[in-house]
Amino acid sequence: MTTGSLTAPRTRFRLPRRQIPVLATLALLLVMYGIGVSQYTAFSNVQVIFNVFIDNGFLLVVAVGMTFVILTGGIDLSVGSVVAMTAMVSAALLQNGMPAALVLVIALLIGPTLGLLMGCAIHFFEIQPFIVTLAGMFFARGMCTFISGASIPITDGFWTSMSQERIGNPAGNFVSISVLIAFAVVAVAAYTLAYTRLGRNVYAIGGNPQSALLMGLPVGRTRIAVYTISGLCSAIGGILLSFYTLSGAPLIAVGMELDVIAAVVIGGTVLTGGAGYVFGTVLGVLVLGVIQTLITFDGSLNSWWTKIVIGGLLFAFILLQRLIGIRYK
Amino acid sequence: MYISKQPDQNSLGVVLTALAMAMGVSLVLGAWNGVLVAVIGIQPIIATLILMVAGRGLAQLVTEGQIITINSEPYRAIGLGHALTLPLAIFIALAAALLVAAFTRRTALGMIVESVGGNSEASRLAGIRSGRVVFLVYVVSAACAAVAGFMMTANVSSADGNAAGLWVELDAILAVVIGGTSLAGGRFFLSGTIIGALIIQTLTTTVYAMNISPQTSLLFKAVVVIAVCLIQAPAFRARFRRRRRGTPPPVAIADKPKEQVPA
Amino acid sequence: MTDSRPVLTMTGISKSFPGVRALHDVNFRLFPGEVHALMGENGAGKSTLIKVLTGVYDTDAGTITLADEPVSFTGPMQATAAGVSTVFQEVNLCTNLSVAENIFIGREPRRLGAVRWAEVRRRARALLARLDLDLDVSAPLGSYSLAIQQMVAIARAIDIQARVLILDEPTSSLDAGEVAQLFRIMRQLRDEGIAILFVTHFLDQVYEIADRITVLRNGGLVGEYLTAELPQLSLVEKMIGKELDVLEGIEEHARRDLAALEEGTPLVAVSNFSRAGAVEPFSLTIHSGEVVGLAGLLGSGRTEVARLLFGADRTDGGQVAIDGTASSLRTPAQAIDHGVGFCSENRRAEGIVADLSVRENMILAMQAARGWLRPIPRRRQDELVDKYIKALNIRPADPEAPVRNLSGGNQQKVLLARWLITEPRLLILDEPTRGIDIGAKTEIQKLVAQLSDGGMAVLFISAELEEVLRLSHKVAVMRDRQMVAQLANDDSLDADRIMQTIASGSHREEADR
Repeated sequence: MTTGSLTAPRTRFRLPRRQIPVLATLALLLVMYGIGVSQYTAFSNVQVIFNVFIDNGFLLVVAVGMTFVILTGGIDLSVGSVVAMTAMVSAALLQNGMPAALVLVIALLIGPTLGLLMGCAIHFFEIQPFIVTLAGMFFARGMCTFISGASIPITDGFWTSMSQERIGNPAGNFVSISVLIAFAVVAVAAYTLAYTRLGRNVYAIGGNPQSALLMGLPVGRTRIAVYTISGLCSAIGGILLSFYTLSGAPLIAVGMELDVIAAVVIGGTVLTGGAGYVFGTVLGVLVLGVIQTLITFDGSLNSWWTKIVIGGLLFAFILLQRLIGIRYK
Repeated sequence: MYISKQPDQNSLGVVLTALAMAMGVSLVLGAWNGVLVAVIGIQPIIATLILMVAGRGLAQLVTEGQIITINSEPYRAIGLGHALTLPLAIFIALAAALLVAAFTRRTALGMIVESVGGNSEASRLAGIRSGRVVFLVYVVSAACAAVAGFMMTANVSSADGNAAGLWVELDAILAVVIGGTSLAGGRFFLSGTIIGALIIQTLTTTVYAMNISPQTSLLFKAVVVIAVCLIQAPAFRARFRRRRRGTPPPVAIADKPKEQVPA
Repeated sequence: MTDSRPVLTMTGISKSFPGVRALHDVNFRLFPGEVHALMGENGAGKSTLIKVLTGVYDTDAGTITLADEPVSFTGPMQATAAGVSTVFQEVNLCTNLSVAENIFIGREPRRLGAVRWAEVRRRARALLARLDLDLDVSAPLGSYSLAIQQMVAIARAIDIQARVLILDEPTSSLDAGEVAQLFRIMRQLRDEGIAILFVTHFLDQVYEIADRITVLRNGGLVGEYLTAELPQLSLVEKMIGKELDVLEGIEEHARRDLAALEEGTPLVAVSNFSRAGAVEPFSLTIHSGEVVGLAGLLGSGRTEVARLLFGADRTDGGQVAIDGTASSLRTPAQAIDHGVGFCSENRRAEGIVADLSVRENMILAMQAARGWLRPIPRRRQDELVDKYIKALNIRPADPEAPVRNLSGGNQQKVLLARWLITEPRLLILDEPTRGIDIGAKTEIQKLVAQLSDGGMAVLFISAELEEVLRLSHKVAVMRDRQMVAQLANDDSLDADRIMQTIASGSHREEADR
């Protein structure tokens, strides 16, 4: 009995199965886009796609951070609040006349710091991630209103130029700088997950934390790093959001954590951790964006349909994961 | 939860029908959650997250995105009425608490729930059909949420699909945790939960009274959650005790972290 | 093999935990190029010894030398770095990662911080080729069988220039073909000069592969033997030991007429129950008032038999008749409806609900059977609980004390009470006397005798043969996941004969000696 003959037939079966969720997402995206194009002539304009990116750049960045967390089998509920807090802090500091560069640095430090603290609480005190990040969510949201109960407009030159800068071709199609930043984040994240030890450790911990520990991997460090990364991505997302809206409002991005989790899950990352790709998350965000666009184009449907559809998709994809998971065993 | 607004008449019958319908819908939604968790086996956080996203969308669909004002006198009484000089809402809350207390402590449900939460494998081997228990728990939770929905909408005489009950889940979790029930499951304390809820509300009201923005109370709640969780966390206590004794922590490579997310 | 110097020596190792002396003055040595089996029953100290060796625990006394250098590891990682690698019973790898990555994660070849995947795969293929394995190294590990995963774990272990390879029960979930594959690799590594420490419960495997055997019992060293010079029977004797019988309190009640008991329809008759990877098909009949002992070494399938009978695990096939009518035992709830009760050997994880009180733990099974809508009236609860606290002499005699605060023996009695309250017709007791003090042990044994006199059927599982012999009317013997014999407990049956059966698989051939 050679081992090769014993196992070879199985592998051919399994390999694509791991990609099923991503492929399903891709198919879904294409179908939705196809529907859009067939129903509305304006939909085929390339700018529609660009707009999806422009409108969801910050969501994409935050979702990338969340992908790291979910890959380890954790969850980060604080992202929406951290996004809002970052935007608020930037707006408030700018209002006080602080130079843009300094504000940027400070704003980018807040998220990771909070993430680091949450990661430490989760790792050292073994408290469930969802409750720790829930507290983080309360905290960040509270900070927002602590800074100001009302929306603060941003008039800083750097911010407005970042907001209005259009990078496009002669045909008139363009993207904003935020989109480029978001793409850069995606690229860095994809590289990190695929080619660095940190990234591989993330997958290992998601697969089996006990094994990871016994294999000598730095489980604690990785776990803390993951929440810090999520915090950093939320901070970047917050900055992008403030570019987008040119203001900081205490109640902005409420419930965003749900959209983010939905995007990650629809993108094929398994909630129990260990499997998923940044590319899938990009697709997940695109699906959400296209749903929004479709509903906007339709006009007769109300915007709350978005939430219902997202909920439905979330359910469908979790079910899909579950089915695959069962067969996997 | 929000349906109860469509018949806007004052007749008692209409109000009762509306209440019954709303309660029915809640039970169905609770059952949905229960099926997801107990039958399909999705992690509870995620399973309930689905309805958290979609439920609000449904609510808005029902209200068509408008804030529906309620002019029905009997309905408003739920939130604003008085009996024996005390607000009716207090009686409703008390009644709900007593009802749940009776439901759990007069029957064996409470013990069985605690048993499943404390050690689900041992419970299974003792012959408890834990799936049914878990299912039931979600239905009960939905029923309570429905009652709370009545009270909340009646109090402000309107139903806002967007903002009603926003972050209530967090307050509710917090109240339970403060009340001494462990997040890991097991023993629960209804009386503790009531006290927890009172503490939360006191916190919120105090913040109001201090003229700080009500949202800022979230800040304090965050601190309270973390403090309570840390006190509950065995790892934290162990660390603390060790430090007090002054002995170096033994190498605990084999320390198996508990399953954090029940599958 | 023995003329070279040992690569690893452990001398005078002692280790205590609060209240338990896990190891006492144990010596152990390991030569290069040998497979050395570490044997002993549950609680003998095998795993503690391995954990001391790999630095998971520190020692209270004793020294460890590796290649003549004294060492003291602070953890498995450091041990691995020094050339002492461990592969555990449960494969400690990540099934979601590829085969290659599982071998190299944590020490992947990198260039400028980036993992060189092509190099990882190339090296993995080379390493597996050395073990004569031909796998798709980029396939996820989870797509391969447990045996292959086990071998990948070994590949990971030996890649780190291992001089000592510790295999902690690697075969417990493998089938015969897979074991053969594993042994082939073990022999190959042995021939390359690696010292292999092999822990297993399967006697056949020891005799097939081990060159030398060290036996531990109750935390002490029994001795080190060459496999060729140690007959199976002596090995079993050394592992189980013949302790002086301190339990004189019980009459030898068991030796009643088995034939009289087994008249009429059996209470429970199962035929061809089995579960892949757990226990081979077996058939067993149990009559009312009969105590059936289940003897065998740890890991021989004792617990698995019990779990199948209680519906805790599903059987792969076979039939069951209760009172002569065909029936099924698919879930615990169903088994309880048929009047079966089961005390798990794993008290903490599968028995008590630590948060609940003594009273609640006791009435749990009865309440579950009634359903939550029909609570047991409090007065009835108190009566029942008081009765059993007195009858079983549970201390503290406080029904409202959290059960976590009770000693192991008292927790065990609470569990017994839980089932006795349901008035079962068949009670399955899996190691009910393990890890509890001698007084509680005697009480539980007496109770079993009383219950059977009262007409209850009992399936009694224990590693202690004396106990099994004292209580049982009939002894079923398990060996390597098979029920190899069912012996009537008459005057001719004694511990020696059971040991022979455990050692040889069949009592007849050995009985002639």
